[in-house]
Amino acid sequence: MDKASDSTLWNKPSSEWTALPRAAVTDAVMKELQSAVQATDDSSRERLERFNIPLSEETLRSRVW
Amino acid sequence: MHESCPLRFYEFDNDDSLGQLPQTSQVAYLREYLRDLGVQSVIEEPNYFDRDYLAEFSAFYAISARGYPNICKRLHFFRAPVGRVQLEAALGGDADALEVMQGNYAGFSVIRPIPSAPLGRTVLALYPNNDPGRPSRIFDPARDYKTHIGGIELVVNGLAWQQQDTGVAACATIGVWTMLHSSAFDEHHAIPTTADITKAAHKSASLGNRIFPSVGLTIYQLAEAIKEHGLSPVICQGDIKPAGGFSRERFASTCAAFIRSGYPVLVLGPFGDGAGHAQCAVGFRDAQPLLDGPVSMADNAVDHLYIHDDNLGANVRFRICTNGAGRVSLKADPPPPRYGGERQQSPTLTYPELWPETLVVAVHNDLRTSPDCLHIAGTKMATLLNQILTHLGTAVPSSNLVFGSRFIALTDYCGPELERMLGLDSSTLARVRLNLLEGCPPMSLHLGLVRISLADSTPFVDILFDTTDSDRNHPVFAHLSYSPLAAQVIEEIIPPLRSNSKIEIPEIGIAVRAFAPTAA
Repeated sequence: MDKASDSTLWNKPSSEWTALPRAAVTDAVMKELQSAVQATDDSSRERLERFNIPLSEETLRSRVW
Repeated sequence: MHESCPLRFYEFDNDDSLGQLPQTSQVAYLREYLRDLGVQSVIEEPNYFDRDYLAEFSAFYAISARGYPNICKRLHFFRAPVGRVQLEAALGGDADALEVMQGNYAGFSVIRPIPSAPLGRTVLALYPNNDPGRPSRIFDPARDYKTHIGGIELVVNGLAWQQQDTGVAACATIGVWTMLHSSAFDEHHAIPTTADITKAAHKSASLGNRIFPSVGLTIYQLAEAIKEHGLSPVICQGDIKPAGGFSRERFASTCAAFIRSGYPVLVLGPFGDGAGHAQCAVGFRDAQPLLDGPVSMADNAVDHLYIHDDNLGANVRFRICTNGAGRVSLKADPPPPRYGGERQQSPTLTYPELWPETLVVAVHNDLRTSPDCLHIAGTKMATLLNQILTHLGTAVPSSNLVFGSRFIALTDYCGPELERMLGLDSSTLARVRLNLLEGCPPMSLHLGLVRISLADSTPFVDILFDTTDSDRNHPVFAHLSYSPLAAQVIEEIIPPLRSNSKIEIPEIGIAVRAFAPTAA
C-alpha cells in the first residue's frame, strides 16, 4: 500500500496546495452518474459495519478495572 | 507537629531525592524520562500540602493506625543547574536567574508519605516536538500547570499522572482523574481529586461494594463518576467478532479523533495474565494515512500512542500492534534514549501487552454526537465523492480520497483552524468567516468536523455537523468547498443525483466557498 504525501489533511500548509479548477461535465456524464452512483462499495460497507457497534450490557458489567 | 525545613538542592542523577524512594518501575521510568528531557537539577520542597493527597488522607489514611502524615514533598526538575545561589538571585528579582529557572522548568512530582505508592500528582514537560523528518506528536489534552516556589511562578505544559494506591484509587480511577485534567475542560470546572472520583463512582452504582479501600470500578461506575462531575461518558466497544477487541482502523481512528479534540481516552482490556487493566491515552504520533482503497481514513496508520499508565508513568510510548486476526494490542515501545548511548534502565521492555476491549471518554455534556457517527458520515460522503470524481476522469489528479473526523470548538474552527487553512488569502478568510457568522443558522459550541481531502492531503471539503442532536438526526450546519471543483461537485452535480438516483444522499448544510473568486 502507498503512503500519501508528507502532510496529513489536518496540517497541510495552505502554501502547498492550489484550488482545483472546475471540470467539464457533459450531459452524458451526468446521466451515467445517475445510474452508477451507489450508496456503498465493498470496502465502505465493511467500514460502516466496523463503526456501528452497539454497546452490550455484558461489556458494561464485565469486570472491575 | 510539622516543623520548618530548608529546601534541598540536588544534582540530578547524583544521590538525588528520587534515590531515596523504593526503586520501582515507576521511579525507574520517571528517572529515564527526566534523563531524556535533559534534567540537570532538582529542588525539593520538603513540606508541601497537596490538594489531592489531602483528599486521600481525609478519605482514607487519616484513620489508619499506621499514622500517615498529611504532608508531602514536592520535587521540581530543571534542565539547567539550579542551586540555592540561583534561587536566591531569582527570588531577589534577578531577571537572568528567573529566566534560567522558568525557561528550563521540566515539571514536578509530589512525593506522598505512602511507602507503597509514593509518586503523587506528577506533571512532566513533553518531549520537544521537533524530530526532523517525522510527523508531530499530537498532545491536545495537555495543558499548562502553574507552580510556585517562594512566589516565583513556574509553568509546565503536560498532563497530570500519579501512581494508584488501591486505598483511594485503582488504575481506572487514576485514568478518569487524568481525563478530567484535560485542556478540553479548562473553562469547565474544578478538577476533582481521586477521592472525589471514587466517591462519585459509588454514589449511585455501588451495588454493595465498599468505597475504600478501592480495588477497582466497573464501567457503570466509571460512567457514573464522569456524569457526577458534570460531563458525559462516551463508551466505545471493540468491533472484532466474536472474540472482542478492536481492529486497527477503528481503534486508531477513534483514539485520534478524541485526542485531536482534546479528550484523553481511557483504554480498558485484559493484560498480562488476563487481569483487567486501564490505561489513559493522552497523545499520539501523527502519521500519513495508508491509502488502502478508493477511500481511506486519515488516521488509519497511527502507530504510537502516548499513554499514562499507573504501573509505569506519564507519556509512555506504546506501539499499536495487531495479531493474525487483526486485533489490536498495545505494546510498550520505548524510544531510543535522547541522552545518547544505551538506556540505563528500561522498565517498559518486559511490560505485558494490553488488549483493548472498551474505550471510555469524558466529553462535554452538550456534545451528543459519537465519533462513530462522524466516521460513518465521512465514509458515506467520501464514497459518493469518489464515485463522482472517478466519472469525471482526468479532471482530477486522483479520485482516491482521504477523510478524517474530530470535534472542535466553534471558536477554534473559525479562529486558528480557518486561519491555517486560508491564511494566505486574507480576503477569502474574512469572507468565509463572515459567511459562517451571518449565513449559517446558530451553530453549536462544539462542531463535528469531517474533512475530506485528495490523497495528497489537498483539502476538498469540510462538513460541519451539529453535535447537540441525536446520532439519528445528525444535522449539518454547513460545508466549505476548498476549490471550484469541490463547489461544482457538491452544488451542481450532487443535487440532481439526490432527486434522481435511487440512493439517499443527505443534505450537507449551507454552501460556503472557501477559495478565491479568481480561482473559479
